[in-house]
Amino acid sequence: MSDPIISIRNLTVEFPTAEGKFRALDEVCLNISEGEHVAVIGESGCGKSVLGHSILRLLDGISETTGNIFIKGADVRSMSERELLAMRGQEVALIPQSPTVSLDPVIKIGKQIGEVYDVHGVPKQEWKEKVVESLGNIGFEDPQNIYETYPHRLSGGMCERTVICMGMSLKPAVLIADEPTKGLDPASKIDVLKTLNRQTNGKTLIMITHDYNAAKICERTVVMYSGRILEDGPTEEVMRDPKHPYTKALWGAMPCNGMIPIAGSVEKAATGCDFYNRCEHRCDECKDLHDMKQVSENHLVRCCKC
Amino acid sequence: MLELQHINITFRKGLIGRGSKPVLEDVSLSISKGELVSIIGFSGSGKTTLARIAVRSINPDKGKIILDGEDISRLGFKEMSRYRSRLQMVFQHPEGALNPEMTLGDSLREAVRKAGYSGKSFEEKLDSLCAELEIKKELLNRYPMQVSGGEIQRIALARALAFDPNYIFMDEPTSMLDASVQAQILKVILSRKESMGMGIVLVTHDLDIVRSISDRVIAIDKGKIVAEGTAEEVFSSQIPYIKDYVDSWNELESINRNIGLHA
Ligand SMILES: Nc1ncnc2c1ncn2[C@@H]1O[C@H](COP(=O)(O)OP(=O)(O)OP(=O)(O)O)[C@@H](O)[C@H]1O
Ligand SMILES: Nc1ncnc2c1ncn2[C@@H]1O[C@H](COP(=O)(O)OP(=O)(O)OP(=O)(O)O)[C@@H](O)[C@H]1O
Ligand SMILES: [Mg+2]
Ligand SMILES: [Mg+2]
Repeated sequence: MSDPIISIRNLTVEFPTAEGKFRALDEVCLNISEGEHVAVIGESGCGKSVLGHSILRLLDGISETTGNIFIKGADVRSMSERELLAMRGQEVALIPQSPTVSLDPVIKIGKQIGEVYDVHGVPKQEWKEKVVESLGNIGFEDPQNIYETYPHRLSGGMCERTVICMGMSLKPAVLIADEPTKGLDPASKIDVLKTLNRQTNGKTLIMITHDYNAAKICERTVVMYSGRILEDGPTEEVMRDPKHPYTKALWGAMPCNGMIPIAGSVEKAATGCDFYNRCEHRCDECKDLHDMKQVSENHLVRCCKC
Repeated sequence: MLELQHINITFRKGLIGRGSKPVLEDVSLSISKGELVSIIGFSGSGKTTLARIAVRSINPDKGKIILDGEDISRLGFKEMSRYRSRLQMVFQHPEGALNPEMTLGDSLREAVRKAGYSGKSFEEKLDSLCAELEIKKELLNRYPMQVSGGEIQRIALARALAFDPNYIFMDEPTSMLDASVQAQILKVILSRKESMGMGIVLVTHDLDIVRSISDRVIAIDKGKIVAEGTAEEVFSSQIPYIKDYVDSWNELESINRNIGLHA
């Protein structure tokens, strides 16, 4: 296999809080190859957005980070401010989780998307048409009109689609999409998934999501829980034949599978497996932390029962 | 019963408002105590606007809002505060609805206080809300920027449920939650419906959820109600708009199968 485009090694991110340090990511290791489409799924609060933000180094100053992140071999954690600016948007772009907070209320939609081009030196004559076209691609019936509109006049789904446009605009080598399909009607979701799929063809996509339809457009799925990766494998296999007890329980909670919530609540274990307190199959061995173990080709699981 | 009668609204463009189209046109609906009504409709069809009008966060151009027989359409903001325990809304993008300068705990405590709790019952209410909505206690010391999307969503829900409202409008309340927390919260809501007779209006695009928990479904197209009935009745409707919606949902499932995947 070729060198990974993203290589994350022992990434630990801690936030100072009133109760002491809170560990949002715990020794995360992840290699992503160029052109790979990876879904990152898992419990709400398990560190998915923190992982996305860390790759772009957006948590400087508010967190303590150890470990390494390499993008095309370059060490992100030692990049200068200038190198970071050049990397963000063009090499790696983010579609943020909260569209309302990310949109500037006093700037028209067209101009906001256009600013991304501006920052990277694309002249306005060139970007105006592209912006209108990209708005059309994700299902706006009247893109010209949306271009001239302020964010507060848009519905929730329209705001979401606007930030998706923004993230995709520079056709970055790596796109991190944080929950891009939330709150979208099924037709918009199809437009967004198709567009994401097309725009990232041959490029790298990290799709953070709770939406299994969105995960399914990715060939690989990584399952996280409490700041750690528990399972990592081909999406089709992880969905059809999940191995980790957490992944299995998560599928059981889906509306189409009976909506059974996982009993108990998240408690980070002092040692060993973080799912211990909720796991039906727990045993003494789980009190030690196990490495990811291969169960089939490209399918890894962190569980002593597998 | 909560009734919306002949609601109309147009958001004017500029001063003259030339070319403005109505966002809601003669919309009437009612929900009874202990009933769960889901609203479906494509993006921009007016679902959020309808919810905001129902809870009096914006005023319609025309139409009435009747709460248990009382016309509340003209009440001012101050007077409306007396109705908090009867009518609540959870916003689609809750991160914008919380005060960024206030800790989540203070936001939640404010709601519990306004709901009339004090002393020992105050702490008990706070604890029970956190337990119901799977909110870790340590989150309460943090600011909205310092927690995850789904954590904010749960705080917003807790604030609304603190009032034990008779009626609640929930706009995509579980869009940022994993399946397990989503299931847990839907369970909480259904149990409040059963035990307290809470009337619920749920705006969601997830037809699996709609199918499994709604008593009644309303479909809205460009500001007009186009169908109303049980989930089965509405989903099998031959109205092109609804066929489009349901077909898109099915296509969504099959896009994945096309690339060789199954749930
Ligand atoms: N600035 C911060 N200070 C303290 N804790 C934080 C901060 N930012 C995030 N966290 C915590 O880190 C954990 C991981 O957050 P993250 O936003 O990555 O979750 P997530 O997996 O994206 O969840 P969701 O699916 O709900 O969006 C959460 O428990 C959150 O409360
Ligand atoms: N404050 C406003 N000013 C002008 N237009 C508005 C305003 N709020 C909403 N609109 C418009 O009204 C229409 C309905 O918006 P609404 O937010 O009710 O849609 P929705 O059905 O909730 O959609 P979504 O599923 O995307 O959340 C949209 O066309 C939107 O652009
Ligand atoms: Mg997140
Ligand atoms: Mg809406």
